[in-house]
Amino acid sequence: MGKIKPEEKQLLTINFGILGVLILASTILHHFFPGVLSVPSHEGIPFYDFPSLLIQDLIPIGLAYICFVHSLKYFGPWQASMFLSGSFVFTGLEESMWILAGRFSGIQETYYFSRAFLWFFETPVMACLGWYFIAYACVYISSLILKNSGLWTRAICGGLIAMNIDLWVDPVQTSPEWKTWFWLSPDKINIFSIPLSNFIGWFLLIFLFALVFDKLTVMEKRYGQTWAMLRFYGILLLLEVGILIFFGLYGTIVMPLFPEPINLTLGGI
Amino acid sequence: MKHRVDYYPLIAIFSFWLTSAFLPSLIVTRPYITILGVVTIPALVCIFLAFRAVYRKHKIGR
Repeated sequence: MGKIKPEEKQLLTINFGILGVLILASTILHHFFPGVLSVPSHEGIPFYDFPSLLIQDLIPIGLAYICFVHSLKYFGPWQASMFLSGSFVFTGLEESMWILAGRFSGIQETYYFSRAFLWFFETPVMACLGWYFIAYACVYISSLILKNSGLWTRAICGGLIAMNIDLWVDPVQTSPEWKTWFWLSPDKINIFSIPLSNFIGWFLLIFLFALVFDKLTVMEKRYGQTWAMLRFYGILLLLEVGILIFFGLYGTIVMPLFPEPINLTLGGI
Repeated sequence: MKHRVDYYPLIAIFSFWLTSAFLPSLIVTRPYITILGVVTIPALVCIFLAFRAVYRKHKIGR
């Protein structure tokens, strides 16, 4: 796909520079000033020592790296970087929004992550990188197995693959042996003791991001890279608000229809 | 292996399944937690089909 152009390099340096500053600030705030964002205590959390935290971050960093290598080959440096930073910010902000809303809104507790070395607001960097390579891989898989299908079909397939994997990941990672994250309030509808809204969220994040990313090439041609990047982030931020409204309506309209919580379970999980 | 880059995202998602679900489930004491993995068969099938698609693409030389 060719080498990186000087103007591209400058734009991407600014892009990742801002992201780096946000990660550094969030990490310092989380570890050294936990009272500011009312970070829950990590007492009793397994694998919380700093060498283990760093090692756990290395796995998603490695998996994200190999996906980035692939995306460089097929998309070139600018689009590959937009997929990485766009998905990182989109999902990291979304998760942080829900975590902090649960902590400070006084409406309902939501969830939080217990363990990480690097943080992006209140979402671990390893989770944001995880979202990146999950989104990239699931969209890639759907493009391979549904190569003659339209964008929406491939995006839906990508979202469903990710959601399917999380049906197992979530119950395992929230177990007492791992405690990687905590669900603080059950939904009215749960699957394997995990709120249904979580699985809907997994699907929506991958599905929506796939749709928006597909438009990036058109935006680049029409507006140039700088304005395309700003529009790209702008659309993602609008979608964040849209998802917030969607789940607000879900909570207000759907949840009261169920007087008692339901848990769709397998083997009592 | 030539074209190994084309397998990278597939290796990434399979490794994620392995390191975030399968392997960690082995130390979880909750009954049936490892068997719960059968619910991810659809995703595994898709990953396998994708691996096969990449393999065939390069075998045929397209």
